[in-house]
Amino acid sequence: MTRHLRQRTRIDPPDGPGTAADAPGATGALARLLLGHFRRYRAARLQDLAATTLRDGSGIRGWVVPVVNLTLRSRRWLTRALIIEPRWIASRVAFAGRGGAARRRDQRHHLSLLCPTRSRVRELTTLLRSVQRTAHAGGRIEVLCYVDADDPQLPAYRRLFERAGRRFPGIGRCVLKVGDPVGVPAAWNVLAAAATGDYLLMANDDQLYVDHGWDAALDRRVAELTAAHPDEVLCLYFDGGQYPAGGCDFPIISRVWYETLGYYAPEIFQQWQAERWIFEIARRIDRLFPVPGVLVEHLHYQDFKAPFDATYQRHRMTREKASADELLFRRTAQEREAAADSLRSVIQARAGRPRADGARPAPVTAAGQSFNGSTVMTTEATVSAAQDGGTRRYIMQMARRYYGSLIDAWHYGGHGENARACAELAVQQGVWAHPAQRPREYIPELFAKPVHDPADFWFAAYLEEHYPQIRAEVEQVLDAPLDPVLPTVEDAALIRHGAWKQAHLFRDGRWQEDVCARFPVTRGILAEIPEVTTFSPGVITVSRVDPGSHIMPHCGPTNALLRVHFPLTIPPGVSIRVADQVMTWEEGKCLVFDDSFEHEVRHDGTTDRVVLILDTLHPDLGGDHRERLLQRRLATEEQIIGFMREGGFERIGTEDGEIVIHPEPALRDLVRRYMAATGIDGAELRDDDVVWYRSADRA
Amino acid sequence: MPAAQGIGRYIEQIARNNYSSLVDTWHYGGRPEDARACAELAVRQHVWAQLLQRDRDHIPGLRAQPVHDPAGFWFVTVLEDRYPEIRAEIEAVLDTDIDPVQPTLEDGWLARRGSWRQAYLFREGNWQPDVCAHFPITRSILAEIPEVTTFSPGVILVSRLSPGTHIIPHCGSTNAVLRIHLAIKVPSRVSIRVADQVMTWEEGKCLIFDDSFEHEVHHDGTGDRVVLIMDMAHPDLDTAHRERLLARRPGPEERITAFMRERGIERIAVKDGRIVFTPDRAMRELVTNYMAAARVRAAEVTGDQVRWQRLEGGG
Repeated sequence: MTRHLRQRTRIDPPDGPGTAADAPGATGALARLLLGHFRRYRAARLQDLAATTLRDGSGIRGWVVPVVNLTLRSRRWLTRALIIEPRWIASRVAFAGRGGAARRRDQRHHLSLLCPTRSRVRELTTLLRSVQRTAHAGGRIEVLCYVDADDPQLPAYRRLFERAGRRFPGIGRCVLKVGDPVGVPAAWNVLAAAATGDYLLMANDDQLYVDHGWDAALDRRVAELTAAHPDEVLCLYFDGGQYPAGGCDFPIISRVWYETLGYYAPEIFQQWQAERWIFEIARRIDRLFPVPGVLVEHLHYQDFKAPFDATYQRHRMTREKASADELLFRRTAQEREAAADSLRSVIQARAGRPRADGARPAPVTAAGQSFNGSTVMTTEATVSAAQDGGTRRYIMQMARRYYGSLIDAWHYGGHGENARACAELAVQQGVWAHPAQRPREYIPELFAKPVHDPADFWFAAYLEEHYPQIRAEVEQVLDAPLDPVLPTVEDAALIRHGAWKQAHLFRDGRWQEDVCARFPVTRGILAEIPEVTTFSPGVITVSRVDPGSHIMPHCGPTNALLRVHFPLTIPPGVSIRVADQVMTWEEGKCLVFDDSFEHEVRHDGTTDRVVLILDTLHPDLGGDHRERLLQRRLATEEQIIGFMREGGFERIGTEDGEIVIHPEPALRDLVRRYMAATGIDGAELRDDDVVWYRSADRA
Repeated sequence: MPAAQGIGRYIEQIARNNYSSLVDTWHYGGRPEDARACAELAVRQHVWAQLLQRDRDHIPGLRAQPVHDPAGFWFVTVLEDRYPEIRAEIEAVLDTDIDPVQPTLEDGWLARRGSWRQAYLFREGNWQPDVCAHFPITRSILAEIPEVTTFSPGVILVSRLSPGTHIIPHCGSTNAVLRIHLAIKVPSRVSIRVADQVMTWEEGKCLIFDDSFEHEVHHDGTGDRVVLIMDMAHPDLDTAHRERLLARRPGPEERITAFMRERGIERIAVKDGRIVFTPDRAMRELVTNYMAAARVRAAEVTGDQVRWQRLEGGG
């Protein structure tokens, strides 16, 4: 087993240390790109490499991309032959078996697929063919395509559309729009303006319709939904089970939606926030619905499902664009709220009208108040009700924060009884549900128990199997020269005496290379557990507590994650309390607990206690929360920008091996004013002392 | 004495700050009964001695009464005698193009409805020349009163409330300062509550109260309410405390030090004519982590523009 792992670690270096990563030669680049066929080697950096290699097409690495693309084409072909075709056939049989005709009473809606495309005539043809063969009633479907006027393949597109009527008789109509290269979102808008359908489906030339009768499934879903929501303000998406929980892609919106907002996709982003924009508005008004059981495959090169080509190169995701878009997205929440409001007023207006079939109006409005037929809430009232919800959330957030600091202070001062009194009052006030569970970020619907059964997590057994290797490696590193397990600064406030040393192998969604370099075996083992790495919202830490330490009672910041302790070295005389359960660790056996419950650690033994700490998402966590946590984790750039704005810093960087910060102009002027007023030109804090530098000192 | 109960000064300070914020939060959220429950618990825990006096910076031993008699202060007669001039000058400026009395940002959250506008003539021990330029007469009158200028631990401001405004219950930050209101324009149906006393202003008269007691303002009238607010040291304050209060007042040194501690800066220096900060240990660690995670060497934020200086290479 050890040998096996060592070998693995040797292959690992696509991201790992020790490779000549700066400028891989042609073979190196080829090897790394080919490894991308395996999901675990597919990192953002691989895309960068693909992009540089592609750009470098004429150079010495010119042959690399064609070779990689050859393998990608084979993979695409194999996927189609082995997965997609069988699934289509099966879905066809299933559709027939369910009695496709029985659902004729569902209204057949006219559907418009909006598909921008560039230099991909073949792919588009494949898409059209897939639409034709999977549609149950294709006559009501129109496909609108946008092609840039400067597209070298424009003549081929024209030929395709001239013959579309004959080649795709199963599709109602195919329309080609040619225009300036305005970008994908604007193209969707041009196509939406020309569309005639009742529902507008976002499409792309790297999609493939797989399941038979998707259009009938959509009809049926719409019929179900309009029974509850006669206003038909709807946003849907096909969900073939391919998305991680909470994920969705390619929105489908109703005509009412489109006409209310007046646009299909926002055009302000450089990249892929358009879908997110639409989905987020839908979530705001609670009108986002999956059409389950329909797979529409997205053959994207990022997933190694398509060859790298010039179009991907053109739209390639870059960190700069992504973080600028992320910022812009956050700053435009108000615009989405305004859009949501317009949709809410339509919902209101239509709900107030008696329905044609004489059924009673929908009993509950978005604001949760009943109609008694007497008053119809105005839009304004709805808005303020929504704001009250926002205020309530904000108040609770603030209350958790202040109660949290207050209770920490009481514990720090040794006033446990005051801490308890505060926690109990907070529970009475609805701030938390349980006095021993006090996270600052609190998701009430999660099942709450202090300690979880390790048997519920497959990787506990896996870790326990590898205990000897992990322990051996960690022991070898501790106290050796350059031991990365160092006294913690961030959590230092939690220990009253003793010492707490930590080293993070993983944090903010990334391996910490300098630490991992010391623990290659452990890293290799952990890399097999996506729950604590790829999908981890937290950290992986080696935690070492000295004899005599007391880690004071405290609560973790969120109840959205669980903490796994994998004990490596456990002397007698140590204990951990979680809520009211006092436990001790057992070497090599996992302990899983919810660290949002109050917990404390006592070490009255004689030698160090060493535990490997791993975070995993709470198993009940679904949908939005999960996605948000994982997204938050990845946006380090966003965190840096926020940190700099908050501090009033214009620049952070390294100069002469020191971190140096430049203040923004307003702060700079303020500091200058103070300096002028006092005649100093520098200051330095040394613990409680301040040293003032004056020009005279230097003269 | 709270400290005598064995809380410890440091913890007591943190507890006061957090309880204050918590009570403010509940009032802000329109839940006065929760605010009261927190205040009661704080009193039971000896964080404060009384339910309605909840200052963050509390000096023990000062006479604690919500309202003080103006007759005890010599300058009240001066202010009331010169009231016509002051009122005329303020009225002439309000609502002109150059009106410096503008919506408050710092205290804005306290006004649940309506609008609260302010202009500071004096703060941090200094006249504010931009504002004073509009009020030369008022300034010269005030300059004769060292209690609210030279020895003032606080501010002088023109405060204007529009009809319909409700300033939610709150406490000032210290009991070492008394607040003087010279009522300039007072329409009917406005009121101020300090602790358990509900009062109204009388035009041309001074009202003196201890703003460390919970107070709130209701304006249900029709015209704007205008008051000139001045601060003075509590008369019981001993010399040492008074000096400390005044010393704390302008002190650019203290401001720099506090600023550095607050932002985690260890050193401020001028390097090649530019001001640069060196972070302290905790902040250094944070920044290093951020930069390693984002794989950047430097980051620059100018307005909405962000520039990243990447680490070389992909490995």
